[in-house]
Amino acid sequence: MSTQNTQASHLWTITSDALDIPRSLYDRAAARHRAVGEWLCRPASSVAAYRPNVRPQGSFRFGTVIRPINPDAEYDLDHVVLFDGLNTSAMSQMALKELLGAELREYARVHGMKPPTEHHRCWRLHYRDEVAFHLDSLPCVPAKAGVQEALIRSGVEQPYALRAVAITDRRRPGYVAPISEWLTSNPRGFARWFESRAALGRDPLLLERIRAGAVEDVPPYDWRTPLQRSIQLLKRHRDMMFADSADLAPISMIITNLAAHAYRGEVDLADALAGIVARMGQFVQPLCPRVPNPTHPQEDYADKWSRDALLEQNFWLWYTQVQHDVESLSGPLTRIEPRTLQERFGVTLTAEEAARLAPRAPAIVSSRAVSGNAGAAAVVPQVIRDAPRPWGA
Amino acid sequence: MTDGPRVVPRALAAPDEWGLADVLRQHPGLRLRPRSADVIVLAGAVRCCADGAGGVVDEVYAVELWIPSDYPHSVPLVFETGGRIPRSFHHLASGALCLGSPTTLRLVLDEYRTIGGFIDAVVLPYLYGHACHVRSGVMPFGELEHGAAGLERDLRRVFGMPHRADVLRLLHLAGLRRRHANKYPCPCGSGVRLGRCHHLQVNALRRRVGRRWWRQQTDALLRQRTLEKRQ
Repeated sequence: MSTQNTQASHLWTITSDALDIPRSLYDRAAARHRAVGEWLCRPASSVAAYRPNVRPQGSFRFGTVIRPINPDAEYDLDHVVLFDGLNTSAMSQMALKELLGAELREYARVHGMKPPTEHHRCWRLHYRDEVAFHLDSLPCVPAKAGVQEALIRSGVEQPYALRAVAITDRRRPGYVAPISEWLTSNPRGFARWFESRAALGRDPLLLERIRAGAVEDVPPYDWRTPLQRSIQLLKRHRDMMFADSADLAPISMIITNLAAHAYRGEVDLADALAGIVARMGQFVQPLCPRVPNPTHPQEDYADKWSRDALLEQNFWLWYTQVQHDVESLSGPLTRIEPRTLQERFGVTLTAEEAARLAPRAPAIVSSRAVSGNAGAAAVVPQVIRDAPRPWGA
Repeated sequence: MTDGPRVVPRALAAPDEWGLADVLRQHPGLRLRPRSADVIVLAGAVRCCADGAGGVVDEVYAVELWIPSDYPHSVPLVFETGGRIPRSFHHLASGALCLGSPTTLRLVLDEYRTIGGFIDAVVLPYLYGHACHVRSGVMPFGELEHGAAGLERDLRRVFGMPHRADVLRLLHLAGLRRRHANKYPCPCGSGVRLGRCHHLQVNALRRRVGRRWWRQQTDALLRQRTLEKRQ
């Protein structure tokens, strides 16, 4: 590892460490997730006969959770409740949703919680521990064999394709009908695919365990690969840039998907982040689906882009900015201004950390201002021979 | 889950045809803002370290650049947000900086199609002018006279016409087709037809920005003259 990488890796490691959630919160969230699973599987449960299989999903599953920039903001946990003993012909989407809803209402009542709120595809349980978070619970049943075969024919590897599920969506016309075409998705296949990408930079034994399916729980707190850390950094940069307009920000699944595609197994964090940031834009497809789920190519994480061009434009603006910021902070002679790091990643360095990151060579390389600071560097003045003339007052 | 294939305009997928990444490198104090309207906003600090007719200056200004979607066909608006430049110093009614005459800016954008080019050719010289004016009370590159007179002087300069040239006639001919315009007397007052006088300048500028632009400028000059007569 070069000196440049050593310094940049220190910087990104310190920054991503600061974005990590506290271990206590992680343990608490994992316990909450497991408690719901145990509740649904208890003998008296009305859904136990349908063999509910509860799997974590989203950033907790991927190990890419970050602290929100607003300390009062809620953490967002997701899990998938797969009813192995049911299929799409057994009942309507609404009946399945209600089945889970009834159990979650009872769970909330027994535990003195607010009743769960219904969303288009899931139920949301609200927790008020030392830190507020909510748990989105997505009911689903295994997808029809035909769907899985179609996925395999379209190039999805069999282990991923077999994880496809049928989900409920109350916006769909056939939501209440006993027999209808269900929406299909593959969150479990994506999670497995993501873990295989994250494991590229790790030891072969772990890789083998993931392939063998031995790991499928909330991933251990210490399981942090350069891919996961890079995604944490990208998500925080996104949060900072869109602090005042969160509805325009690129969604986490787009960032996670593109970064996982772009990751090539670099072991050093600075190499991984630089490579991901340089390549991830290439994985946006020119035609729909623009950012497909690799384990369910018809599912487009960027489906809203076709309805609102501003969302896509903001993705590219963010991508241009984060490319610049990562590159400018990773230089071998860059003096890390604490204010710059605070502005871009919302992380404050301690004096000790700042000293550790001091460049080995003097002075700032940048020829102009940094973050509004005029900069002390000597610059050759730009020669201005002519200029448009403004009107006199 | 999708509505089928759809071709996305390249311009939306690649904002960097304007060279935004280069701007961020050259002006690290500027940052892109999330886009919520029909403009892309670059905001932050610009260091103006320049040398020209007013000597060397090295100043930092806080600015916002509002770049329209149809850039470089439309001129960005530039605002100074640090309170260093008073409203009495070359501002438009909107509060944006008055960077130059519409025709001069249009020609600059035609030459420098990137945002970095616009900053170097227009924004930095304006800030340089302000810094020199604060120091010595003089605008290093001069300024246009107020109203129609300033507009006419600027157009004569752009076309390389003498002071006696009839600017309205000049704009009228620039707004006509070349073969048609060349048959009329040259607006410079030489008495010779345009086709044997200043045709190279007029034809070149007609090609660069199109006849429509010059017809619009004719209307703008007439409006300004009418306004001044009423006052």
